[in-house]
Amino acid sequence: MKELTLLREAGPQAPALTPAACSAARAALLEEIDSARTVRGRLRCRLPGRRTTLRLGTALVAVAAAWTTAVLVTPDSAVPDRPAAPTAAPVTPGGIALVAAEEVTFPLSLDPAPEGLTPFLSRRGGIAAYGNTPPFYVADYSSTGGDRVLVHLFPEDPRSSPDYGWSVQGDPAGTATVDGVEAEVWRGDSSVDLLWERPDGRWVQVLGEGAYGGTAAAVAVAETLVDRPQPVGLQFGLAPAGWSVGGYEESRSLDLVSDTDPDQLLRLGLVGREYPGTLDELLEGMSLTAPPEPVTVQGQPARLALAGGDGGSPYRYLVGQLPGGPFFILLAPETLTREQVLQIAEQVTSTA
Amino acid sequence: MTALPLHRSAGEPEPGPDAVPLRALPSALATDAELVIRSLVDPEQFAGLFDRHAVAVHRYLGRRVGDLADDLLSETFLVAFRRRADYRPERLDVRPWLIGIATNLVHGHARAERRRYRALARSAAEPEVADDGDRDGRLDAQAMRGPLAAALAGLTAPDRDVLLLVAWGDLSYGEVAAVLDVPVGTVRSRLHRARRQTRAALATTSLADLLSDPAPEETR
Repeated sequence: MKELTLLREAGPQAPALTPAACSAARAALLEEIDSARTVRGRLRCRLPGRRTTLRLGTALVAVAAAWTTAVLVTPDSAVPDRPAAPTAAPVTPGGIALVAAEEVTFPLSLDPAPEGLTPFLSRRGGIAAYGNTPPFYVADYSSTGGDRVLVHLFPEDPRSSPDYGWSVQGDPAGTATVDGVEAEVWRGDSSVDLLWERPDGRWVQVLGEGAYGGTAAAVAVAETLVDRPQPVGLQFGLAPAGWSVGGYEESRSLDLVSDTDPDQLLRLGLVGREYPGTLDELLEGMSLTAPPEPVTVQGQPARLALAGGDGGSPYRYLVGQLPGGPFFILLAPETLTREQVLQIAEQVTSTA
Repeated sequence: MTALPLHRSAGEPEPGPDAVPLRALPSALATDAELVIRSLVDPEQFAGLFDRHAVAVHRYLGRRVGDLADDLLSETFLVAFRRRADYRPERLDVRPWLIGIATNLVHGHARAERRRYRALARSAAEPEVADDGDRDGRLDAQAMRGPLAAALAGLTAPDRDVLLLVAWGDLSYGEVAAVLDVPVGTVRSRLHRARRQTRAALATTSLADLLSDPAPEETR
């Protein structure tokens, strides 16, 4: 492999990373981190003071009175999903109402589902924390063996904005017909990309790899796409009234945001099964304002803590474990009470 | 990391009077993946990844785009932070993930990268004067530098990505496949083509003899 050795030893060298450049890059990152904390719902430095919190709580109660179901996915919506029709729901006196959450779904399915492939579902865009585009959807059906079908559903031609992450290079090598619609085709060494516009104006990209890496196989699986929502693997059973889906990532992180204050965020995240640590180790390094409180959630030991006390107002941080399943983390603004966070955690579910 | 023994073996001598007593170590440092996971709920944790990997990412970027590396280093970590929820530890370690993000950012400066290689190829044609005892080695390196830069300028962007991710990013084939989102077979074929073209470009120089025994494909 002498080319590689030559490149390492005689190829162009890098200029040194100067302390000034390093400091500037680090400062930019810290600024971004600080900004993210703001997006996360006044969770830390910019959390409202007690008086503001009370006013905000009052406003949300009013919102809760109007909307008593929290979550509904509306695939075509260019704004965060809206609450559904009112249903009966528990209400916590003096605070934000918790309501039964509607199932969060991904708008498309493959029928039949590709054998041996597991879907990881994402919704991106839509709110600042998820990018600058309207919402778009990604289903990554993949296996450890290299077979893969990656489906994107875009609200417009994905080549219209770099924020969609369109990465196919060059001009299409040809066309194919998917359900009577002409699709552009890009062929790689063992992969193929299809892109076409649906009659409703949305665009679909299907990438096939492995067993789906040929044009015929990719077209065949593309023709199994149906407009049938499928549930995202991670779900809330209870959620704050007047909150909607902010986004989700690969079926292991699900965000709800307040319709009236998008900075208010409730995040449910799964910790991968490969995580070797313990429940308490998940709290290591956190800036806790007090020792974590041992609690029981879904019959399993869990920890509830207030975090973020280093100059900002605390937020609630719950780590638990699904019965027979992975650890999960629930991040909530302090505007939700301790009991509400426990109630929400009690009803989260995952198919992972 | 090897854990320090907490108990002496039976055959070990007693510590002398000046021995420093071992203290219990704090818990092991969080892994990179753990920092990413924790940063989902505690964003400050992400700064630790900068401290660990900034130099390596900058070195990779610097070899590709020169002084632009300062800006792209910053962008790499900003993008990584914004996309940290996308990170899947079961597929990729953090360092190659960062290198992959850096690679995508280089794409936005493809012209600058090619210009850099061409400029290096031209400037390398002017021999340096070695001032120490390793004159032969320096002349060899000098002789290689220009053709190598010219060869890099002549590669297609996808082939160059694969070659440089392996050579300068120290990524395995599987890691390259993951960061470029292509099958491993594609990585192998692109690398094979890049190596072949690089070898062909170098064959016109005095280095041809060094490359006349093509090595078998790497199997990592």
